Amino acid sequence: MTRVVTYLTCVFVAVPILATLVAATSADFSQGPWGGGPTLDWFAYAWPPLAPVIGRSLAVAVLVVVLNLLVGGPLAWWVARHPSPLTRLTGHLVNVPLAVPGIALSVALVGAYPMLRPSGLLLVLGHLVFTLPFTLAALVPALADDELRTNESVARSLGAGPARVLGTLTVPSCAVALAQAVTMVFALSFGEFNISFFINPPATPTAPFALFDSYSTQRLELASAQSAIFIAFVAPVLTAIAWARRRAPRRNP
Amino acid sequence: MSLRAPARGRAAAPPAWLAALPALAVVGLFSAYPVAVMAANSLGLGRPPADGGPTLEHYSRALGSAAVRDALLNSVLIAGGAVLFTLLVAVPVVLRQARDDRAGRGGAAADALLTLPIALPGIIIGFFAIILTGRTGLLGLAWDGFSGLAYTFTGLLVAYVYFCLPRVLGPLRGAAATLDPALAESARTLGASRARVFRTVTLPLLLPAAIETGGTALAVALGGYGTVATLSEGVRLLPLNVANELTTGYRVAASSTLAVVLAAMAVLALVLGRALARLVRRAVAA
Repeated sequence: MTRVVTYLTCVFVAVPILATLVAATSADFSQGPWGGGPTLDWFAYAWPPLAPVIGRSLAVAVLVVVLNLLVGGPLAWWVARHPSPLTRLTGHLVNVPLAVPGIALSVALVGAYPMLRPSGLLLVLGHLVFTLPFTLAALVPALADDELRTNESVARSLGAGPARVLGTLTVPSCAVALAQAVTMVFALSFGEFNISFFINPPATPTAPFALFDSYSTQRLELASAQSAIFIAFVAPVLTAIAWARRRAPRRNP
Repeated sequence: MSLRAPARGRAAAPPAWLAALPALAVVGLFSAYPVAVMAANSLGLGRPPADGGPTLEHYSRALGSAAVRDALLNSVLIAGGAVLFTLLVAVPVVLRQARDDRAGRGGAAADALLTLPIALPGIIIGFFAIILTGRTGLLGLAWDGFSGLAYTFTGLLVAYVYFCLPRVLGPLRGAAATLDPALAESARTLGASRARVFRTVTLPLLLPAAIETGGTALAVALGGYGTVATLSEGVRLLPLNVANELTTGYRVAASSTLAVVLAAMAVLALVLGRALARLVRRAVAA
């Protein structure tokens, strides 16, 4: 029974992706799958205008990942190592974007800081507050680990400086959690649409907006090719997420 | 402040909360403050064009509109129905995955596949619905009833199941992995049927996590905008109204009001999910 349901669920997830590939390689999809013969022309049409947009989305996602580590890392350390009512309150505050729907937060952000929108700064900061809860969720348990804390204090008492303790103990032992945070944040930022809706600089949209535009204005085949290209960019990231997830429980059985 | 000794014997170290300061500043300025401004706008306390003094008029106007009430009801039905259905499917899947994991059987490909939709924006899931069940959709070739289904209540519901699936499977899988297989096995050895073991042992242990996960997924599904935006010519959901108030004639107060209503619903789903999960956990433990 459980095997059949699992199998059917996999089919349910896979079929639309395969159908998108079929549509993207059909000369005329309205005549059925591969109607008018199979072709790669739609990919050739889709790629040149999409490439700079994907590049922009990649840049935003990388920037958001770096900011998450720079800003979220120390926050996770403080929350993990100094538990108090204040850190619990902080946890709730950071989780606000999980509770407030993206489109609502988008309305809120553009209402408060319309002047930061054209430069794209508001987009990056919006993505940052949206992804911080995921960084915290991944890093706090890893940093709170008792064994790690013991090792750190042993190293310190033997004379290791803070940078050395961080580089040789803290970061390596949090590697899986870090990988989890980085991949998740990257994927979330790369595909973010809801929060971005009102804060995304209108002249220089990110990839999801290029897709959204195509969905209403372009042929189904071209839109499929663009979607397939987009999926090809997130698929490796997603494999990394699945890998980190499989590694995570093994660390603390 | 500087006189207080650091908790963990490092002389002259700066206070630990300094590490949290940049993040707290970002969160305060770009999450908490805008949400407060949004709430103020909805109460007529904002700057023009959202001002007009303290009033509940925006709320009474929003809730008095039939279009908003319809969208609200649709949102609850679609998000709620999708989460319920996803939970029904997810429980057997995570039990199978937990069994495979314990036996050391692979499943890496299935794992990656089932995680995939979490990295896909809602708009792509909406597009999937168009590819398969749009007016020239692939499934429409097999049976005419499938054409145009994407723009109906059922079509949107199925799209939302796709959206919810990875968001339910992920957390629920963690809960299933912590179930002690010995409990179910001893019940089986004592002669209980498979169905009875599921009903009296496995399900009660998994139920609190399922409820909590369901609450979280419901909050996310209620706020999901991309999927319904792509399929917007069909059934209307509340997030569409939130966006429309701004895109068609910059009505900040009206948009903020609907955004607050949407956020309140999502928070309610989260809180209810957690409270109910705690109740059930206590009842099972007793």
